[in-house]
Amino acid sequence: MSDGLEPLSEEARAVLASTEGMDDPDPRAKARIKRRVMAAVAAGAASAASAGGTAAASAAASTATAGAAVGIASSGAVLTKAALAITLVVGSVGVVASEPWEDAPVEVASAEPAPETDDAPSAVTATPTQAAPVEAAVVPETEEPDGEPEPEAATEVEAEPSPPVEPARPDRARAASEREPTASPQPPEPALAADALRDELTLLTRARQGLASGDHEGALRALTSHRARYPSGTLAAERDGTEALVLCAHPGHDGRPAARAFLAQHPRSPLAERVRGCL
Amino acid sequence: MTDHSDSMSPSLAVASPPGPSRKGDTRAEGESASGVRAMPAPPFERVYEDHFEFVWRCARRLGVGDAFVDDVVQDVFVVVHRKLPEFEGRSSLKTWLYAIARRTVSDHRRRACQRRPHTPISESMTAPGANAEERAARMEAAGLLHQFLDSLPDEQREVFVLAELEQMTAPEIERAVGAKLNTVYSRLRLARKAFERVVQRERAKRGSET
Repeated sequence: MSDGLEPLSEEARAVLASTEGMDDPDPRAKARIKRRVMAAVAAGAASAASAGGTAAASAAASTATAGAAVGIASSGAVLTKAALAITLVVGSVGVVASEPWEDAPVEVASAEPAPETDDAPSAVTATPTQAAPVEAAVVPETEEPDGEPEPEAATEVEAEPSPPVEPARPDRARAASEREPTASPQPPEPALAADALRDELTLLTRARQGLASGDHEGALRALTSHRARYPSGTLAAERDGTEALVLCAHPGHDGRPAARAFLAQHPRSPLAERVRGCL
Repeated sequence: MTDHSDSMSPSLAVASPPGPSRKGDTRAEGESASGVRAMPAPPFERVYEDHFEFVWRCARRLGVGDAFVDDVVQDVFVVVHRKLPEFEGRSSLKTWLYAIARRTVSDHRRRACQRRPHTPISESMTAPGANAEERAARMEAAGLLHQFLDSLPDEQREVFVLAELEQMTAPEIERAVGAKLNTVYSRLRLARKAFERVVQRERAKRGSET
């Protein structure tokens, strides 16, 4: 940097030069974190490593432990209400969508009345790193430069049960573990549920990509398909929020009515902040 | 952040520092279009591919502990993914990324009350070198550097990192940190002085040992 300031002495520069590369990531970090980023993005969760995200991931971990189809079936019943903690594993292609939606994980686990918002941070003791096994287990291995499998693959999820959720309230923790299916107790048409959710996620992802790339028409088409097929689907709120964003970005539309309607209905959605920006 | 503190847990806000209502505020204030051609945002894949290491290094050198670097870097890129369409090329991509990274790091540290020195000599640090002796020297230098960085006020720390370790120019730093050019210079001058003192002290220590 030529700045007219007195430069560093040669000795000081030598010290700095010798540290070159010392703060670089390990070679595996790039692929590892990318998978986590893409999983978070796919879920539309803007704060992936936050406590909420981690909690959702923990909830997902407990379902993932028991197996894909069971996971989806067991959470499906409560998903449509306030909570979205989705584990979707279909064949070899897995996608984790964990949405910290209105204190989702706890509700999924206990189906109790929604706790106070202030409750959320203390309700979960999971540390960020605890999300890792989930990511390793369910996100598709798309790139592994050295061909070496992730060491902490699915086996680790099985070996390591989900972290204790909310130790302060053992009743809930117990409720969580009771809900956690350990065998495969004949889930009600798991394939159908998984297919539907995958389809929903695909449409929503397409819409988001359209929004991101400026293909507003394409985004609207995907959203319209979603509405036609899943008027009150698991990701209906996501769809409405995304639609408001697309309409706001679309030069030929006024997105404000949609934004207002969405905010009225989902003031606490993770998308709410972005949607509010339309107004 | 007050706008959603009522609806989200504080920790949830970590990766969404720049709200859309403050569109584009990840860019530094006072940034002008001068000299930087507006261009469409590059695809996320490329941004990640090209700048992952930069973001990682910044997180580490801004004091994020080993255990949290993954999470912080992930948060940065989730925000990048979301905000990339808004990137208008009025600043350099690196500048823009740094602004997001510093905000994420700052949120992380505030949340975790993390203003404590991390352990620079760790397994996460690779020490490429021809032999054990050279590796040891490099580890030692890295330890010295991180100790020094931890001792600096945050605003000097980041200027030193960007200028001396990332080779960014003063105008770039000006945009990245949102401070006036003169302020950038003054912070850099102070940080350099402090580093010289550390190096001298280290030499004196070594001299007395031998």
